[in-house]
Amino acid sequence: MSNHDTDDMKETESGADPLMAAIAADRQAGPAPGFSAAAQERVMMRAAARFGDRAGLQGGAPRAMTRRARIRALAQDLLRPALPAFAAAGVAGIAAGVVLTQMGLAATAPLTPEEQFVAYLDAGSGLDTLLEEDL
Amino acid sequence: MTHHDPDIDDIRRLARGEPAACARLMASHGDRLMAVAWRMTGSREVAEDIVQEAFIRMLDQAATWEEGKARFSTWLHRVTVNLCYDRLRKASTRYEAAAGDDLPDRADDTPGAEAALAETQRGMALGAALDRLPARQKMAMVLVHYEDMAQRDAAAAMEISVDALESLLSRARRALRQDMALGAVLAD
Repeated sequence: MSNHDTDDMKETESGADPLMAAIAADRQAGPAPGFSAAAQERVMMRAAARFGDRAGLQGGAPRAMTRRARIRALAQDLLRPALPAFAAAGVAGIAAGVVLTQMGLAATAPLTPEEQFVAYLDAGSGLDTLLEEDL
Repeated sequence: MTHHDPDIDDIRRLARGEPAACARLMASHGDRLMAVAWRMTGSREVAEDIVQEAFIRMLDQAATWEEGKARFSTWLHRVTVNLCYDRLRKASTRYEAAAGDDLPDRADDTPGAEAALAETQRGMALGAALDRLPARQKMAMVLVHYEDMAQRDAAAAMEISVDALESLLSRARRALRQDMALGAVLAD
């Protein structure tokens, strides 16, 4: 006999347990999906790879797999883990594009006279350095 | 103690490298494992990944299976249970995505629509309340109350004693009854 707590016993004795009724209704309303044929095919592909595609693959598979279905199953196996990485790379690329565009716009904004003078000095000092190195 | 294992012939065949045995084992157990994984994760895709992984591990296990120790289906459930725990540690849980999508946008005037909506709301509230339970309590509820597993089998799948399972179930039911959000919906 189970060691239910008093709350459980009270509910059971009353014969009307809203929680258990709700669970029963939930089970009826939402039956679980089955293990799909595509997923079974992927497992069969792994089995075939492991056992060297010996006897029984065609006859024993959930349904006979065409070459195309095998390729599709294998492609799904390979692509599924890669998709999040592609998505992340895409988002990173878009973000980098936006940042670089903003930087480019900032760089091409018109300079004040003071900034132009600083740029002139900077250019000159760079030339001096080059000359010194040449000498 | 020995168990008669209905899967033992297929395990032997699989150990000899007959993929057809794999197909039969998937046909026998795939849907039940899928139900457990789906109820635990709330995602068909994630559940399918979990069950697929369990069967792939089965390919390795068959060759070293020690007959008479336990039923192979119990081992399959155990692997599925542990894969579910792993996923739940990483991922968000059931009904999160469905919360906004499954409810109709507009009032439906057809007869019975109101009752159906109330039923949907009760189901979603129950699912959300289950999600608020610790993973082991939720697993105990799913195996015993949703999948009708015998307590001995559920305990074996969870690698705990039957007493420990009953304790988990008791705490889970108490927590669900004390869940204010669920209580409000069930009282309607």
